[in-house]
Amino acid sequence: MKNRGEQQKAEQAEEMSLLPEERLLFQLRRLYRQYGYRPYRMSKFEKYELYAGNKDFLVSDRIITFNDANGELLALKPDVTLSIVKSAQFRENRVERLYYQENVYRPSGSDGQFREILQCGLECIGDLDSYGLFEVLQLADASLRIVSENSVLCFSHLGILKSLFGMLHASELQQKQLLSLIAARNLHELSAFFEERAWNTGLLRDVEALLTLSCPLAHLPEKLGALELSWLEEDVMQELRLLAELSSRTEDRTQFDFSVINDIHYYNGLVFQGFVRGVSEKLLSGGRYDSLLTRMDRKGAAAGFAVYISLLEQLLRPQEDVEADVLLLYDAETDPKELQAAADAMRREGKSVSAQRRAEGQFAQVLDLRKEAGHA
Amino acid sequence: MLNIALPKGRLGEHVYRMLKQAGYPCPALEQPDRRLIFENTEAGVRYFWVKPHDVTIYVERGAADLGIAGKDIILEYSPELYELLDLKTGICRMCVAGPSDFRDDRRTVLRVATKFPRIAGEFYAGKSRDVELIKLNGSIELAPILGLSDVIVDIVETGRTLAENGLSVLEEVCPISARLVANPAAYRFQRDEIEALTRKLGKEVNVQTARGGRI
Repeated sequence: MKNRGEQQKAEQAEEMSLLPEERLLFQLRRLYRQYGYRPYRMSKFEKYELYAGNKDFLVSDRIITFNDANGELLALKPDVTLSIVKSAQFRENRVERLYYQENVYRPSGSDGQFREILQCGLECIGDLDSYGLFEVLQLADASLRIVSENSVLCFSHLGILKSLFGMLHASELQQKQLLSLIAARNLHELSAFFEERAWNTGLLRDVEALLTLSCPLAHLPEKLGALELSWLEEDVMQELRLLAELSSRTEDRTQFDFSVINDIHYYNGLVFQGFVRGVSEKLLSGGRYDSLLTRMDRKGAAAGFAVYISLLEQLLRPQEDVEADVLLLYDAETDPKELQAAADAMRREGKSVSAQRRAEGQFAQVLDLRKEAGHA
Repeated sequence: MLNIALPKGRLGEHVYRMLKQAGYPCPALEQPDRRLIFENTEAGVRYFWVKPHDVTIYVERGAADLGIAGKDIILEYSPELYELLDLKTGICRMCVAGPSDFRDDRRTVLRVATKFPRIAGEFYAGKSRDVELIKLNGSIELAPILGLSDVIVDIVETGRTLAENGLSVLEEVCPISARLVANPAAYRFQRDEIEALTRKLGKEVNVQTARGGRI
């Protein structure tokens, strides 16, 4: 039986032999396990009705569907969260912590073609409190740091927007238009939007100040206080104070960013997005989504996030384009036993070996065992 | 270093002059040659010329941090970008145009020829008007003349081309002008530089507007 040190060594050796993407997933899984998260596996297919009723929650409303042998309409899963929520059971004073690594199928890129997208993430569902919520935020930041130190986790609180909409008495359509302008940091059209409706210019100044504000979570209550947002509901400030208090005790790398927005019909509190230098779009997205639970007739609260591993393909591509450490050249005259012994010896040294009859491709070392005329 | 995608042509050249005035010159770009990328390390900018339709693609996919794109392209393709500034140049209108005596018969499906099916589709959906969209890539004005469509939805600058073809503006869909757009991820990592450029360029826009300068 291996002792703990040996086991760690074996794990490290195993980790080093993995491809960059596999290594990243290995590290993320280890991180989530450390926080008591359990793996969740789902089938490739779900009943279409699960997604049809919650299309706005999905990244895209286009879904691959097909009829099962019994005529039932199934979908190739475009999302994981909905399946997890569907199977969640509420128990008082307890949260269910689940992590997953799944392929999802949805349109991607400017051509809108369907792609298989690998994502990894977690969900914390049940009797969620501020501590559990803060832990999700911490794990999102830790996940980004595993990918790169050159990363940033931006967050906002949808309660701020809801308070603002309440103050403006904004209709559903106006809310939608405001959300898209705020998400695009489009101050010039926001200004025109307020002007056309003769809305209070003081509120426009507040929105502009919020879009300019950038600070860590620990400092947010103080900064919001300085803006004197009289319309901001107290329960939002209360939650932010609790989270800021927890955040002040850790290394706080989060950045408040009012343009971070998720669908307000599903998300209702803290929302966040993660970025890594070198990746052109958000690598991580998540938040608190109690409203989704309500819509799906589930009790409790929930928060979670997904890391879009497929976006890292370019970043994680190995720099060295070496096929194997050693190219072992042989020909018809080479003794197979000699060839095998040489290859095994190299592999015992920890090198990768490719035996070929032709010198082609990139290798760190070439060992020529050819015996035919011209090579002997 | 900020990578900036400029649209090839008169609009791009005009915006470059504004950027130069704002403190982001690039002497190499002013030389007559066929290069596509120009850099001024001192000013912290690298410019490149791309087709106007492609600017948002370069910015959205992170090949450029910033770009100058027409509002028509932004509305048509809805790229995930920040729209930081209205440059108040390249001003025109997205309009519905057709024969001057055109009367919409709501008993039939309206045939609309356009280069901008999304903008046109959303415009008519907002009016609950049943339309058949005909996507064309150019010479849109020809469509109603040859009976291919009833009306067109297209960009109108002066209206001269329409008038020369016996057409006139029937309705305005939305105003169009050039916008400064940014990649959201680049914004997170170069926020100070991008905000400084936006601020300085904004001042230059105000100067130009006060002068009444537009292209």
